[in-house]
Amino acid sequence: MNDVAKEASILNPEKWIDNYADYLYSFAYNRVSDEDTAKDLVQDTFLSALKARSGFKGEASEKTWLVSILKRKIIDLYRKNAAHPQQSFEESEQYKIAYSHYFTETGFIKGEWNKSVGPKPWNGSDKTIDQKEFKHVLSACLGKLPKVWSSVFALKYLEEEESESICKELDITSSNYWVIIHRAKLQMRECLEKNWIKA
Amino acid sequence: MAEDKNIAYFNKGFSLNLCCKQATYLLLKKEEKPLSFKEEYALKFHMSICKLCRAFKIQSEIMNNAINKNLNQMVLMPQKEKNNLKVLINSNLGNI
Repeated sequence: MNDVAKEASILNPEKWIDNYADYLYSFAYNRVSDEDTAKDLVQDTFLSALKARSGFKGEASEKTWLVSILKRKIIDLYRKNAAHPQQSFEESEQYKIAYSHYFTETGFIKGEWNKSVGPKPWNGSDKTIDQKEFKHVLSACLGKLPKVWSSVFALKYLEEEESESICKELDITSSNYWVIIHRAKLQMRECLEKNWIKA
Repeated sequence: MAEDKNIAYFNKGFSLNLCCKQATYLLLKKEEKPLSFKEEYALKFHMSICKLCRAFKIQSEIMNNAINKNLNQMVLMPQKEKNNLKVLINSNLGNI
């Protein structure tokens, strides 16, 4: 091993908290929306990293390596939630808004937008997106999804996670995946329009 | 959750007509992966005639941007937790 490679593969666990705690905590908190869970994830990440540090080859930076461990832990958590949802089946059914709420099921043409819930233009929404209020509405709307859906939804945004790997992680078929994304997005859209966007 | 029949039928049939339910489904699928030639063609046609689905497309993109932005916000870890973690790491440094 030459000197450069040696340098690259050195980890500094003494400095991990000062250098990465806030970053990892933000990463976790923004994806699990719970302080205690985020804290536990960061702690588990550091402990796993300590155990695994002899295997660190320096191919990625220390930060990238820690983030990849944290990501793994978040995916495991989502998977656990999907397999054993804390919501009962009945509860989770209550959270689901039926397709028939959005689209017609009778009449000459089936599957058209129901007039009362069709998208209305969001005027100026690009400008208002930085509003603090939005974060609350967004979290509240995400919180109204069934747990399994919000896991799928969250994984989709977990940095370049491919749909195939999400399906594998959560043990769902790919057509179920697209139906979940579709229904979750319809539900989110309506929730945001009602509560935040002043059309 | 069983696969939605309405959507599955489109790929098996010969019709190029999409309803709004199918079109929005395909729009979201297209955000992540390429559609088949037939899907692409049918979607393009539907979008050209449907104002509501065009609005849905724009709003879906606004939601994606907002969620991604939200995921990158900085949230500081409480100092107390950091101190606890430091102790924990230091105590584990020796024995592993």
